[in-house]
Amino acid sequence: MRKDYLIKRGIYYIIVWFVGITIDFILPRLIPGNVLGSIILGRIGGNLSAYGQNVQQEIEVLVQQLGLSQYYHTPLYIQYFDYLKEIIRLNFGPSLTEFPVAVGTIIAEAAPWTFGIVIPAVVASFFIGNLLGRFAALARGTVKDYAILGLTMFLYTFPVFVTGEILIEFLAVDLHIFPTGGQYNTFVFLKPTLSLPFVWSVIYHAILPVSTLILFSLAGWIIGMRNNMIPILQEDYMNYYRLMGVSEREISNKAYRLALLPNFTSFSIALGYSVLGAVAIEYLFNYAGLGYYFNQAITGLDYPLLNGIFFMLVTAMVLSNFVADIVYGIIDPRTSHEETEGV
Amino acid sequence: MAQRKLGIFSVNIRIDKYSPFYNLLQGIWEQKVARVGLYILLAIIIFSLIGVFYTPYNPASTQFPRDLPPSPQHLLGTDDYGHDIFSQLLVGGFPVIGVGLLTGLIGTLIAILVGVTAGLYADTLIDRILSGITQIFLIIPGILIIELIGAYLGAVQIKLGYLTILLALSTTGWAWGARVLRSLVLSLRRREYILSSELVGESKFSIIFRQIIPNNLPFIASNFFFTAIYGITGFTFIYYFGLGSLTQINWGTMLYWSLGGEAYLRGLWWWYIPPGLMIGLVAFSFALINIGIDRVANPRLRVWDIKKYKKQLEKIRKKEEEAEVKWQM
Repeated sequence: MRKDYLIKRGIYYIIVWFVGITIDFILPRLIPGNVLGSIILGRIGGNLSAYGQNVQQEIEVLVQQLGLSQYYHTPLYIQYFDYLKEIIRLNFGPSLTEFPVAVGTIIAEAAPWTFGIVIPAVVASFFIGNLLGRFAALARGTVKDYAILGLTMFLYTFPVFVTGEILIEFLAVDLHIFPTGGQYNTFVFLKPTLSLPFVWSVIYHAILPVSTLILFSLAGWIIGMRNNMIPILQEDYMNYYRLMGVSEREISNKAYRLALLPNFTSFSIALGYSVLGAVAIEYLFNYAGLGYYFNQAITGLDYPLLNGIFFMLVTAMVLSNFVADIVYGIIDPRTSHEETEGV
Repeated sequence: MAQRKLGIFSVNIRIDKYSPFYNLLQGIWEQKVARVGLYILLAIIIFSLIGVFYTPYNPASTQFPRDLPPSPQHLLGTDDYGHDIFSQLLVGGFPVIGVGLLTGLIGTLIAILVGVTAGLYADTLIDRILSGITQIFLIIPGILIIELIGAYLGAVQIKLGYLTILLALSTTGWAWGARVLRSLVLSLRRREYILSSELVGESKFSIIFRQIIPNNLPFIASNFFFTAIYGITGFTFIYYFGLGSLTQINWGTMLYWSLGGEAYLRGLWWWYIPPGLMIGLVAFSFALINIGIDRVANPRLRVWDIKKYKKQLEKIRKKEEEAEVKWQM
């Protein structure tokens, strides 16, 4: 892999990241200041007129803490530099719905839970999806192939939260096999401990959300594998193997390995996108990860929290794309030499 | 051209058989997958069309008993607010289908504009700027930005209407198509026939419309349905987070209210599964058509039924022989 290719891509992603962060910076500044003020008021104590002078002072302090008071006084670029300085330390100010807990603290607590369900889901769907895709490619044109393709395409296009709702209703509510939500049994464990029963409780509670995510992300792998593998199976060198008397099983193994390579590069991108899928699922399962707080921030008009989560998601996407590029460069050295291909 | 002589694409209807658009439609129709998708889509459109003229009950009326399970009186039961769900399902289709298809259309137009321009002016400043913007839209998830904007609009008591949703989705959903088209144009540009038309002095405009777009029609059509699926997914996500206007009746609002009413925890499956299923089916039909188009664009993905093609070839050979005999006579 060439070094300048890596540097070029790196610079590209840094620019993209900056654009995302700048969107994050501009959007809240587009809403009128008085609206923002009234939201803050509503969040921390209702109607202003019902309170005395003291509350007004407290609000002033809060507005100052949020960095909102300078909205119309300091020039925008100074605000921007301040903002950049603060987000490096994950400081987005206090959350409004969980006042006075800092947004950074909430994110630091929520992010591990999100990645805890996203990473197993992506790994599992990668293996299951590739195997199913291989099966479909080998059985192409038959009923089996169409059954696999149809079912997974349907699961992919079915709204992901409805899949989750169905799983909850039938497996958790009707059959009582799994819990309806939460991260661990809060009746037994008041707070996280490092014990075997607790770990089991966490895994047990994660099964349903993880399976929903797997069902949702399976289609991409199956179609990718099938589309990679069918042309390889028709390649001349594969026919050459057949003429040499290599068994069909070994040939399919070889084709599978070749078709797997491009799928590896999508792995980290899939990780990034699944974080987005988790945003929808966590709310349903009452799973206090980034998605749960994202929904809470939207319904509660909690702008600092919304900004923080958007920042996390954009960072995850940019990082996963960059990692995908690096992996791509290692697996297929040709890419780093094609000047016109990469955007 | 050779294929047409072989007769694989031969039909009896007399239209301009040589136009690329007709060729594409013919190719899509030949793919069984795409045909199934078209039938499903047609069925859903007919279902929604019935809803325009006839519903068993007034879909907005709340006079019925709550939470009734499906019965002959209420085919899909009633919800928590006393609505008849079947009537709502009949009425609520067109916004979803319309937003999906129009997102596909506008998104594809933007993709053509950006992708073809960037490809034609490759390695110039215009290309750098356009590609950079494409890259940004590709990485920063569009649905997330819409949700962010929707949440901020919520502060000033604005909920997203159909037009806003449509505009938001189509301005964020074009990036993938633009990127694919750019690389297609790049590879086409090196071809001799494009070079020769450039040398003859054809304008860039006419090269785009007479050479590049017809040659990439399958990719453009595939991108249309790809973007339409994005539109439907985005539509449901916007309603899921409660950012869409909730005064209208559509499958998105039905899902939103069922989620708020915790239908899935109370066993009211007839409240959330039907709208979810309908949304899923619309996107599913698009996806099937898309798979079909992919096979038109990339013949190596096609599943060849050798017996069928041998039969067709046999027929053509017979016809040609007959024609030769006639000619000799």
